[in-house]
Order: sequence, then C-alpha cells, then structure tokens
Amino acid sequence: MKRLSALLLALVMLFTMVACASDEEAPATEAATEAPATEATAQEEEVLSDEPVVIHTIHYMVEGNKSAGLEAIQNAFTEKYPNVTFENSAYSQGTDYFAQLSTAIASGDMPEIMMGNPGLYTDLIDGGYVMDLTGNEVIESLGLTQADMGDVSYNGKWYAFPVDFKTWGVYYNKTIFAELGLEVPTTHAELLEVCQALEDGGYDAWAQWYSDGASVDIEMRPIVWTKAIQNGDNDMFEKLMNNEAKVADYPYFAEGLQLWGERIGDWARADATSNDQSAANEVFLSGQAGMLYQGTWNYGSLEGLKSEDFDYGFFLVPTDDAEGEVMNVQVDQAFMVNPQAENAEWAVKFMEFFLSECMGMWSDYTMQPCITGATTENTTDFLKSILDVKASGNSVGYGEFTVPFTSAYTAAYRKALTAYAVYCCTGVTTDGVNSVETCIEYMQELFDEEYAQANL
Amino acid sequence: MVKKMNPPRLSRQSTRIHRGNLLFLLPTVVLFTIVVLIPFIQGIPYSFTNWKSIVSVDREFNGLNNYKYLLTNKYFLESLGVTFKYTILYMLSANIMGLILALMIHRSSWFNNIARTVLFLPFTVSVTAGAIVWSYVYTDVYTYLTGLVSPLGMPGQIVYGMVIIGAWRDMGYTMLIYIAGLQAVPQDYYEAATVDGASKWQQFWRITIPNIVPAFTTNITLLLAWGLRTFDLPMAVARNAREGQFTAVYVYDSIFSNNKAGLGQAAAIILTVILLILTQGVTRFLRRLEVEA
Repeated sequence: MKRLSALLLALVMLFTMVACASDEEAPATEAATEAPATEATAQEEEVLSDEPVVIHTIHYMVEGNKSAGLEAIQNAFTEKYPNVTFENSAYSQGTDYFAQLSTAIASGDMPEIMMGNPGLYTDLIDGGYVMDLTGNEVIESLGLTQADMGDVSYNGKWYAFPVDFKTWGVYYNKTIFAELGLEVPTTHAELLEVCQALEDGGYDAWAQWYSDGASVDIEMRPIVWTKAIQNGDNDMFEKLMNNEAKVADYPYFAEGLQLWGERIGDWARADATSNDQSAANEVFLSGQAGMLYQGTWNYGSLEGLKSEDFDYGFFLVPTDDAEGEVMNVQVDQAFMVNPQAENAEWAVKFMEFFLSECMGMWSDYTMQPCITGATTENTTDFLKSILDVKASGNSVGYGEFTVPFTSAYTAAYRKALTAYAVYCCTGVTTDGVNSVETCIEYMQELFDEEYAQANL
Repeated sequence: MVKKMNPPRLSRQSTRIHRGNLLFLLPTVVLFTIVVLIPFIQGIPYSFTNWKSIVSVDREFNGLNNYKYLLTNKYFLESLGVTFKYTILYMLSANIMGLILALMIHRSSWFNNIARTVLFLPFTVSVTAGAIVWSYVYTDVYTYLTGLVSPLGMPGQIVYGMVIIGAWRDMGYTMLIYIAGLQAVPQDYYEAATVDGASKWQQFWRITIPNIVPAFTTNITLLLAWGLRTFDLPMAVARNAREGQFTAVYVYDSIFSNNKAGLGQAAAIILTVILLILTQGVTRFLRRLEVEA
C-alpha cells in the first residue's frame, strides 16, 4: 500500500507537466478571415445591435501605465456603446504569454483581441485565428509607412492594428555629464572617451541588464538592422532561417559585436550579467551609472520612478555611419483580432475607435510614441524628438525585412549574444564564446540546431 | 516438499476498513485520472509526430525520430545533465540543512516552536517570489560585500546560485519531516544506550539515524521528484542562460516558444520515464533500510 501511495504521489507530481502538452485536436480552422471594414452594411448594423457584448483581450502589457491606458480607452468605448464591456488577461511576454494564448485557442476559448506582431504568430494566422485586415479603411487612413505596415503584415496581408512604435538608444544622466563636463558623443570614439571619463569621475559608465535577452538584442540592432537594410539584405532573416545563408555571410553581425564589445570595454559593473531591466533602472536612477542603453518602452517606467530632480537625456548610439545615425523603428503595441471569437466584429470596431480617436490618450497614459505621430499638450519633448526623427524618414524599420526572426531563432540569437556579453563583462568563456568569431560560430550552431529541429 | 500455504484471509472488519481507505482515495484517484493520467496517455501518440504548433491540426507520424533526435542531441542531454546536477545538490543540501536544524530544535520549547515557524516560512513563499528576492540578495548584498559577480550572472555558478535558493526554500519542509521522525524515536533506546555507556555520537549513528530512515525516504523521494521537474526557478532567474536550460524548461520551450510540440512531448515523456525509474529505485532502496521502531 505504501509503495502504491508513493507511486501515485510520484505520478501526480510528474505527469502534470507532461499532460500540459496533450490536448484534444485544435478546433477546425475553416473560418473566414476577411476584413469586416469592407463588408456589407448588414454586418455593420449587426455590430451596432444593443445586445450585451463582452470583448476579451489577451495581452502582455504588464506595466501598469500601459494596462491603465488600455482600460481608459475601453471605458471611453463603453461610454459610447454601453452594451459593450471588456475582460482583460495580462501575461508576461517573456514567459507565459504565448503559452496562455495558444492553450486558450487550442481549447476553444477564443479571445477577441490578441496583442502581438503577426510575424511572430504565423501559426495562428495559418490556423485562421487572425483576421485579415488588408484594406481596412481606418488603418489606410493613418498613412503609415511600408516599414510600419511590414511589422503587422504576413505574406503581404495586414493582420494587426499598429498602435505605437519603439526604438532604442542611450539614456544619460545630464547632471553627471554636466558635473564632469561631458558632451553627448557623436562618434564611437567619443562614446568610449565618455565611458572612461565617467569611470575616472567615480561613476560607472553603464547600467547594464544582460540577464534579459532583449538587452543584448537591442545592442546589436543599430548595426545589424541598419546595415542589412542599407545594403539591400532585406531577406537576411528569411535566408538565415531557411539555411540559405550563414551568419558569417553578413558582416554586420561581426561589426555589431565588435562595437558592442568595445562599448562594454573594461567598464562593466559586477552586476551587469545578473541585472534585469528594473535592476538596471535602479542603478541608473540612483546615479551610480552615467548611461543606460535601453528602449523607448522603458521611458514611462523611468518617468514614473525618477526623483523630481533627476535630469536625463537620450541619444542614439553612435556607430560612425557615414550617413549619420539612423533610428531603428519597430511597431511595439499591435493588436490582432480573432475572427473565430464571438464578438470579433465589435473587436474590430473597438480597435478602429482606438486608432482613430484615442491615440493621444494612449500616448499620454503610456508615454509611448504613437505610430500615427499623434501628440497632445502633455506630450513630452522626449517623445516629440523621437516622433520628429521618425517623421524625417531618417529611420530603418524592422518591417522592411521580408520576415522577422521566429521566437525560436530569436531565443537562439539571444543565447549566443548573452554568451558574448558574459565574456566581455566577466572574461569567462561560456559555450566556447570568447571572441567575435566564436560568438558567430556559436550563433550559427544554434541556428543549425533550430533548422534541424524544424525539419524532423 | 514445501507445503502450499493459503494466503491469510482478511477478517470482515479488516475488509471493511480497507474498503473505507479505498473510498478515501477515490476522489483523488478519479481527479488524477481525469486531469492527469488520461491526458498524459492521450499525449503519448503526439510524441511520434512532427506536430509543430499546438493550435495547428497538421501533423504527420514520424516514428521514433523525435526520440532518436533527443537522445543524441547535445542540448537535450545537457539539459538533463544540468537538471541532475541541480537535483543532486539541491536534494543533498536541503536534506542536510533540514536534518541539522531538526536536530537543533526538535525538542519542544517556546523558542524552538517559534524557530520552526520562522524556518518553515520560506516554504510558503512561491518559488518565483523567493527567486526574485534572492536575485536582489546576490546583486545588492553579495556583490556589494565581495565585489564579485552574482552567481546568477556567472557561468559555472548559476546552478549553485539556484541550489542555494531551492535549499533555502525547502529546508524548512524537510526539517519538519525530520522533527516528526526524531520525536517518534522511543526515548527508551537512548536511556538504555546511555546506561550501556554509548556516547552521543554513537547514539546518533546507531539509534537516531536508523530510526529516522522513513523520514529520509519521504524527504529524498519528494525532493528528488521536485528537483527533476524544476521549472519555475530557472525561468525566474536564468531564463537566458544555458545553465538555466533545465529539462522541464526545454519541454516548455519546445512546445510553446519554439512550436515543436511533438518534440517537446517526446522530451516530456523521456523526463517522466527517468523520474519514475529514479523515484521508484530510490524509494525501494530506502525502504530496505527502514527498521521497525
């Protein structure tokens, strides 16, 4: 009996994990995915019926200001259409968002609105769970660039409503810079001098957060994205994933690693490889480090956390590009609509309302630059400057690539970059990475592994 | 010639008691069967397919390809290696710490009662929350005091960093089991041993240890299973590190993040088989060491 109980206990504990992957067959995927905006008026009238409607939204905006912004816009919609209410589910993007979303859909629990850039959710699109929004009048009226639309497209069709965009660069402590008489660097060499001057002045050069895969990724983008697009390698990610090209075929990776490694130099803090985003924010905001390489998604957090007298600025990392620094742009918040959900038409109507009437409100709540360039009297100079650069056209968009890296390739890429960061920060060789060349070899090895798995 | 013996017959009262015991087990068995066992069995066939995304209905039978691939794949084998390394260290440290604490505070007194509660508290904290707290301890205390890189950010030390977190959390639990075991050891044994001139050390090895083997069995079996299926700890503190690629994380990533559900299912089944063999083996071995008190 004791043995039986022990076995039973072990089974309960062990099988639960395995069971998560098994399920009944996913529901049929025959649903139509045409854009309702171009459909007949009868459908429109049906949308405007007074029946109680609940729109379920699943997203990964775990930051308070973003979820608050979404709720404010939902409330405004409910005010206009009192029969419509919302239910939101938020999950962490890095850990369980896609697992929760795909499990919900596989079990027939269909959220109306799903956050995400379609290029990362091609299985959902192929399965008929994402509405084709091609030709949607509201999206068309936004006048977005081809690069912006590329971020929400798949196989030439539009599958999401883009809301805002992100870029990345260096936040710097103006007070420390003024104290040490430092200017914003305009060349790579000047940036390295600033790092040394900060160190000599008793400050750490950087607040780094290399335990988070996103940090190592954005360090590379100013070179990798920009150079690839400038050289017409728009199909770089596609070729790498199809094994038609190797990492070493694109010199941008080596160049990006080289410059990044020089930026790390001998100035890495002891916590550089263990800090996450919030820990690095603390280091930067407490005045321990003069610079923080981060994305614009972090701007709202910095504003919310900083003391009143903390003064900081932002510049694009100098890469010595002959044409001047080019800003990277990627659609950040984007929302897909599930045509198989019960209230999909209402969801489209809500998103159209969001894009056409609430972009200013969204920007005020989230402190993110809207994809439409919308501003209000509350829009900060920081956001205006970001919007100005994008409006000037001096930018390169991720949407200009034919396809984005899938989640699996992104994870592999970031693993190799993390190994490089660890080597540069600690001098410890991990996974054989102790130089630019070995990092590229390791990256290729991981890509080969992904390719082999995909073809089992 | 050996005479054939009839098995002992249960009395009517014993039979009634056994039926009652089985009835108590029934809700758990039914729930377990519906929620875990049946889905698990249903999931086995998927491990023989090239199923990609769990939202997709497209999949083809690919025989043993997934298993062959995994059993020769260095990344999967590495994930097993790092999982075993963590499990062994975590199981040993949580048990040793728990036993030492139990020996220190197993007698009842107001101080010991408070100490037990305090030491058990980490077990009530979620792994993720505890892990995040420890990541701050490493960076804000350890790094500040020593100037060294946090073990969670230093290759070669990440597993040890996680072992400390896991052992810190679960040593209170093992301590309670050991205290229960220690309190069940008859005092007569110690008194007789003292009269016979046995030293404290001899009493510990000859009386205490043999009599608390059932507690060892419980603690080692449980922590072995917990260690091998560890998932949330590396997800919280070493998501992007190779040493954080435990087998459970490999399973999760394959199924959800990487859209290789068939492969992930095969990895999960391999892990389950290993877990069953190990836990059964360890339990059987320890049961043999148990003595009747």
